[in-house]
Amino acid sequence: MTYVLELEKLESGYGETQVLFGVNLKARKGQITALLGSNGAGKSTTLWTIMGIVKPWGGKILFNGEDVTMLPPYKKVNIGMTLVPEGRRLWPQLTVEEHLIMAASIPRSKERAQEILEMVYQLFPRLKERRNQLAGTLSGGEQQMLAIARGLMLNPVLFMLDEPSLGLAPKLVQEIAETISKLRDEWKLTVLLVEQNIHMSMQIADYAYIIENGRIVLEGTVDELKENPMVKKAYLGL
Amino acid sequence: MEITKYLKKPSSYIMWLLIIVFGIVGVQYYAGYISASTAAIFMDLMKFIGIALSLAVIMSYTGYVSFGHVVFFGIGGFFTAYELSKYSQQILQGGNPYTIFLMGMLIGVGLSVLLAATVGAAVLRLRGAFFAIATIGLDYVILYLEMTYKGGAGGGEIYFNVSRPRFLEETYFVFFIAFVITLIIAYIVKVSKFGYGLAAIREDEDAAEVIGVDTVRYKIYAFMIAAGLAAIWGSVYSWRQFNFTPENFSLGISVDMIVMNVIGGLGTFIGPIIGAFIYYIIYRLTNTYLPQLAYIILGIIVVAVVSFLPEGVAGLIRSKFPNLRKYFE
Ligand SMILES: Nc1ncnc2c1ncn2[C@@H]1O[C@H](COP(=O)(O)OP(=O)(O)O)[C@@H](O)[C@H]1O
Ligand SMILES: [Mg+2]
Repeated sequence: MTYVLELEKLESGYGETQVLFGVNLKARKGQITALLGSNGAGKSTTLWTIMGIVKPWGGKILFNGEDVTMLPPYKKVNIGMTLVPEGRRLWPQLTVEEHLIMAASIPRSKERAQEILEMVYQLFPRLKERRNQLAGTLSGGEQQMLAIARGLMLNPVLFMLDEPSLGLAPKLVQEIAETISKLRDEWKLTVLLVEQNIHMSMQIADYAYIIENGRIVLEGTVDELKENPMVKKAYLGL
Repeated sequence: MEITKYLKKPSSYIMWLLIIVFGIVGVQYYAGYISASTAAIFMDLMKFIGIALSLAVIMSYTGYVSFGHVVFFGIGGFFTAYELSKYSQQILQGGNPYTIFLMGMLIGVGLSVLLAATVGAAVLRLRGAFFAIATIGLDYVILYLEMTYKGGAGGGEIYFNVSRPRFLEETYFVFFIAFVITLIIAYIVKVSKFGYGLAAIREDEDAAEVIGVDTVRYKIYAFMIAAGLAAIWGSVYSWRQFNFTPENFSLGISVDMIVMNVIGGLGTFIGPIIGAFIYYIIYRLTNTYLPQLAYIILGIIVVAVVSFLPEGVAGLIRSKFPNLRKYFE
């Protein structure tokens, strides 16, 4: 098994407050790895720390086997580490296409920008229709598509999504889940999916970690976890 | 070339219009059809727009208030006056004042850009108010250093005489060249990919980092450009005044720059230009009719704009007339 991302005893926090207490996690190449947990468990902090926007206090981050723990965020983006942040974080005053062009201006994507743009529009025809619309005027589902599309324009190897289903109607959640599966199956991306929506994640992920209070408390293939009594009780409500 | 592409966008039309109008005024002035006092109004306007745009690059485009931005205006003015007074004997004996002037300006601009790079590298790594406070401190430090300068008239003041026939008319064109340079640089910075990156930082710095913007470097570059432009205006202002005084470091000028940006609307190229026009009109009116109340009235207007038009006049136009948006970038 090759791992695109490996976290070894990752620690970080904000100011004086420690949030992550030695997180160990691996994202398997070409698979969807889910990081699941309830609100405030430290999922977003894990992702921001992986990207280097929250500085690691200790531990290691390996990307394709190389130590990238202290690399600044823009360099991480340029080697193919991409985060689609929680809450979309779009620019309401920019159009759909401006978001995509801006993302594609990093050195990593520049050469292939046109090609990726076409692939992205094929994946999200609705964004193509709305290419000149301001992001602030899009619906919630369309905004999530744009956030994912913007991430894809960065030409990622490792694609990390922070609660893409948040605030979406069940039908749209299903659509997003299908899109993420496509990113694995057709785009051949390695995905790290952070979710509170356990049902949706278990449906598409290959391997999952469960985080509580900044510590991984359980991990396994999705099939194993589905049968785990604790998961059944605490998370699947069975 | 990308640059020529930018200069043909609809949002550049207003810039070209300004250049044409101010250019025609200059030609008419030179030909004797326009009085010196009318031309002086246009020169003041160019300076107001120029200093507003210089600050805009860092404050309005990037979202970091350079509160002591006047420091660069002062440095540009100081070195221009310094060089001109040093060589005034040669100039009066027939030397070319423009080469000396240009040399003083280049020193002032160069040092300003270097200073911005150094200070920026130190404080722009941090977010929040550190930067605004650091630039105020910088202004005070440089002001006190400058006040110890005992050359010229002492007390930090420098006077020089480079008077020659048609000086005023020529000075209009000196302003005009600075004006064109400032407009084009500020415009290109706004509409280029670099400008998009700055806008991303301004809107949401974490999100900018997530899409690969080297935020620290972008902020430092923006600050360097903003500093260089302010120094150019300090320099041409000294040239026009035949002097440099420590007043040119006064935070009042910084406040002027900030107010013009706020009135006009942050985040756009057109905003500081509109803000400068409005500010200048109010400034003239109050100074003429109610000089004692000038700053109080300006203060009330700023509070009103901040409360009722948080996106300034440009923001109002952009939201009321979406069709005009492409001209008002
Ligand atoms: N910017 C921040 N500053 C201080 N504390 C934060 C910040 N962001 C998150 N936290 C704290 O860190 C903990 C983990 O939060 P987070 O990583 O956002 O959890 P999750 O994404 O799993 O909901 C919480 O206790 C939260 O209050
Ligand atoms: Mg979260």
